[in-house]
Amino acid sequence: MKPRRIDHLVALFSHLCALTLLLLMVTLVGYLLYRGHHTIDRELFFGWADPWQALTFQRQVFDGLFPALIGTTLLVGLAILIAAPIGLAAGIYLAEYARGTTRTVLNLLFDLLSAIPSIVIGLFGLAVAIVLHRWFPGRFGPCLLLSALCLALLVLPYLIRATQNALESIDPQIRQSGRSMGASKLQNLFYILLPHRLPELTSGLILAIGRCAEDTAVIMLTGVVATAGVPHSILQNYEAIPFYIYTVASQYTDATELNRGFSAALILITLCCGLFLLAFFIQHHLQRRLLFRQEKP
Amino acid sequence: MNPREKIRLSNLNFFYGKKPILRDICLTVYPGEITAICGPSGSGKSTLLTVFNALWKDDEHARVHGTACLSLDGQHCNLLHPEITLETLRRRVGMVFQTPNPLPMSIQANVAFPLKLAGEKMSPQVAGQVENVLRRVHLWEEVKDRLHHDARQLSGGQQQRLCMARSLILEPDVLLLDEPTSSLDPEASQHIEALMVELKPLCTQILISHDPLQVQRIADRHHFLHQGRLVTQPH
Amino acid sequence: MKYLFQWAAFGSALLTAAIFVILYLLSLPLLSQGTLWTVLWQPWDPQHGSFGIYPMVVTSLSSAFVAVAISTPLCFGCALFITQYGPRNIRRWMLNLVRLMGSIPTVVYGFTALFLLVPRMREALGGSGLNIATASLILALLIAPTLILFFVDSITQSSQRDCHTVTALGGTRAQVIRHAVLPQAWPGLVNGILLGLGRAMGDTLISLMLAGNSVQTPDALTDSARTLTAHIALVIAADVASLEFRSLFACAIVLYLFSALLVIGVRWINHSQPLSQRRML
Repeated sequence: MKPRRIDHLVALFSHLCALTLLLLMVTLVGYLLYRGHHTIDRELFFGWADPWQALTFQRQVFDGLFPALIGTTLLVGLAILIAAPIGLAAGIYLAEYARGTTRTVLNLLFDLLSAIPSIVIGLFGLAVAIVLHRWFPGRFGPCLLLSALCLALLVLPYLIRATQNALESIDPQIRQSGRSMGASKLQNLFYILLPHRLPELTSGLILAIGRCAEDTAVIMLTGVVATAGVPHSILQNYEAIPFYIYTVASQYTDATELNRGFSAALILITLCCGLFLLAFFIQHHLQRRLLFRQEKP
Repeated sequence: MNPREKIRLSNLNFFYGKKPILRDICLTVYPGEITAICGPSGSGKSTLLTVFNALWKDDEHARVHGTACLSLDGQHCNLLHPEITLETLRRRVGMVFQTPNPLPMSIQANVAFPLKLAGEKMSPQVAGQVENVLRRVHLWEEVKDRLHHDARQLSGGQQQRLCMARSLILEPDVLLLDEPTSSLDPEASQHIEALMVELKPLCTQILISHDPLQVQRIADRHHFLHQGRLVTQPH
Repeated sequence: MKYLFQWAAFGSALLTAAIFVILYLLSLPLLSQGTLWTVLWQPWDPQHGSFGIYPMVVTSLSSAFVAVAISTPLCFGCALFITQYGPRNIRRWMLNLVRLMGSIPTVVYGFTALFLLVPRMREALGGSGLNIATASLILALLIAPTLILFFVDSITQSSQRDCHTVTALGGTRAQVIRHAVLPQAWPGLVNGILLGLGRAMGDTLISLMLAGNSVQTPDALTDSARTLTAHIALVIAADVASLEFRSLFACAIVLYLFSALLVIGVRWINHSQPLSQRRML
């Protein structure tokens, strides 16, 4: 075959692949929109309860998405609150302090941590709960806090890598310029290096939030249940959107319930893609404005 | 060390890992002069510059042997002393880099940044100091209306003068200039050169340059680095 | 302050090791019947006291490998589209679309496939439509972003000079890819495939929702079967002290070791990259 002929075939192949992928995505999102959009209303969120009473937590909602939304929000918030400082600190240590063998070993372990399937982390959480239950009977079982801790462990390597990459990709001259002005290592870090990479750090954090919000495997072993209402403490069971979708898929009884599942999937996909777009936007367009604080003269 | 000398390096060897970068450097820098160091790229010019403000200590692979002495306020300061306070030294020995590197802050915050590092808050007094140094580098008239704008919006030449102002605000004894004009157009370079000549009474300057004409125009002395060895040519 | 950073780093690293230790300790009662090796090869037959996880291991491996086999050519085509063949203004959009795909929750893939793909599979293959093939198809879609991004990265990082050389000698774009891009980019391609394999193997929701979950050693891709991850997710209600429950930890250990193996493989390839490149050139 002539080279030009091969070239055309490869071109055709690549176009076909791209088109296939595009069509699959359009089908997925289009189908969700088609099946899910018309049930997104007040009833979807609050069931038969009065929205105002539900929002002020005066009344539990049992047949709506509201408790699941609150559950997911609490869960993600708590997990990020735990993981962000640790991830940032560990990332800083890797990029700025760790050298030699320590660095190699830490890198390997964090690669390993990020490769562990989420269900294994969930099982680890469950195991910890079992052990704790044996020592302190009746106090500690699968709950919101346990799920948040496990999710934190799940996103920890992402945060560490995001911080490490952000710091290591800084132009050496910027690094030196602070030092040559007499900044100590810590001053350099907090005044120059971290602010310099704020967009990357923020988008890393937002992507971690997305990762927390979508994960189902970890939470299904560590305390999420189908109906729990809004949790009153972090030591209780809770509901979450991804698990709601899973329950609908496995045990729906009528069309209404199924349609709610589609709406929930639509909401989750919107949430995750929205977070992604936000991270993308911060990284690419807000760089200047975010970094540069307009000071009043 | 002769009281008329500012910096003296003798038998200085610089290794990066096991690789020798500088060999047997003996160099004297006199106060109030512009000492130029020239040479082909890769000859170790920038490395030599990092000896003067101990910037090499930030790199774990770098090692230096020999003696390097800096005279500060009549006191002799051993630059290679392992327990030298880097922050204090670097406040007295300023540095301007090859490409202008304003930090992502406003113009004013950039110039006042070294003071912030030293623990001072923004105050009218600091603002006055900022104005003074900006006037000294002839940038004040151009930026006085937009002190609170992003410093990275300035032109290359303006940015480089801003960086010089930033180094000058600490009133350093020595100013290290690492090819400060190599990324600028001829007009902006002229500005910087004129400025260096004006600064001679205020601080000792060590200039790295690979433009022989520039060296002839402004330097009082020049030395030539070749493959890590110094070839001195008396002026 | 430095010690604070250090504690954070060492603490997180220790947790990685702690996960393994805890999993190992809790699977001890099962392992004491034999070694991990025998547990791996025994069939699952709780009535006769046999808690081997062989069927799940086979299912996990086959679904992951099939997914990668489907995904790799598709992703390579997409990567070529993004780096070489696509119209310039569309390339960026396509790349960003792929990145966006990466943030689609797996449960949404599973849920949608249950109503879009499963009925088609039922018509085509008979049975319930829940089988390894269905799960593999969706897993292939799930790992596509990982593969494409790795492919694109390694293709763009290969030396432009070599590409120009081949072009200047009159090569077509396909020849540039064959002679200039592939010799340099292959470690990146293999890395992407390995990581995709890890993701496919580690995913729970898709195989749980689509593979059918029956505990038997599958004979064909059209059989309903249960993966290691789905097994962990399913046997939750059982008695905590039972051997059945302990088998979850054996599954988790297998998953842990498999992902560790992949990580080490990726690192080894990255490490030997310069050497093998020299050999290729």
